[in-house]
Amino acid sequence: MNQLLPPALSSNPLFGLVLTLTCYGISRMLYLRTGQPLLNPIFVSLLIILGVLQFLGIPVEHYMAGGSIISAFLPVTVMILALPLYKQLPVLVKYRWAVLGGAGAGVLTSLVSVTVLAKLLGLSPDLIRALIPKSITTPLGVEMAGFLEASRSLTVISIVATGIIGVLVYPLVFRLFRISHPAARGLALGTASHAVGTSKALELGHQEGAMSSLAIIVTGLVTLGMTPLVILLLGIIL
Amino acid sequence: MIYPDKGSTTKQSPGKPISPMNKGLLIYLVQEGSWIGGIYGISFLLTRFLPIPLGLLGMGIFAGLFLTGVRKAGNFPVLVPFALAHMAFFFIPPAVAILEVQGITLGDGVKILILLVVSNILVMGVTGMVVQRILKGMES
Repeated sequence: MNQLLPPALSSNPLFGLVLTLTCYGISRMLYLRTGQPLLNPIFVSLLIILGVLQFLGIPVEHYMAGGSIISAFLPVTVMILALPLYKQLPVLVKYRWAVLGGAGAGVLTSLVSVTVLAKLLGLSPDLIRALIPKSITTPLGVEMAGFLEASRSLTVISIVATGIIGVLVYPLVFRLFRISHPAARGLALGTASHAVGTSKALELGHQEGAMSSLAIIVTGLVTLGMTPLVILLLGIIL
Repeated sequence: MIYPDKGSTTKQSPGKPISPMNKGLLIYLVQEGSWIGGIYGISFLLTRFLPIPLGLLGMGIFAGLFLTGVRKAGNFPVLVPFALAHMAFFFIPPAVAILEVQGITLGDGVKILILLVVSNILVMGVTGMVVQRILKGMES
């Protein structure tokens, strides 16, 4: 493919850094102005970057020269989750059984439904491994993808898609399963749809928002804690 | 924001908010950056002896500092909230790496979408029902 940008320029780490920063800025502004879950900043940035790389004929390896610098900060994104978890500690103590029970039920349902549906649909073992962490927050999902030796990019995309789907289907789910308690609504949104669900939960009410933000981290940690069991089961099933 | 009372002896004009910006953004940035860098370094060293990922170790140490009172949530008013608010930025390059994944067809994409929709409905529904039952049990 003919490259419209000189390779010396596109392979410079600054290219990937500036392109990511610009796309993120544009997509975040779009998201904040519209509030549309479909305009998720990761999703829109991904589409713009893929378009730019395709249009200019730039190999993804050139973009990754800068992209890998940004990815080097991924462990820090996990580390700093300690702050919101600490801030929500009083809520966690008050509702400990509901939070742990809900997160446990949600994680189990996620693991079972992903594995069973993927087998029914005939998806490959590599895809199944990448889809397992789809309901947890991205930093912890990426960690789990590493444990499962799955594609990090597929995991990130499935996590973003799960968040968007959750916000689109929640009214139907709440009606179908007769979920009316504010705390139950918040925990359900956070457990199934992580941060994207939490932004919706905050719109529903204060209690929904607090429980949802707590559910994000607890669900992620419970899922990660179950990793050895997941690896064992996947070894038997796949 | 904290508004100093009019009798304040500080050089700030009365009513002017004391925000991280006024107190010296640079000092906060250096302080928070140093703590995060330090925790990152210690976690990195510990990963040589413990089979736990760097990020999770760092999270444990960070949480430990809060729980023991060595650091307070208020000690991180700038950098950490900023990074939390813009966390999506760090996941763009891993998502772009989808171009390096081989062998995914459009059919696979449709199947994945079906799986995500059905699984999401089940996870949200089951979680909500379980929590609602526990809460009703606690309230009664």
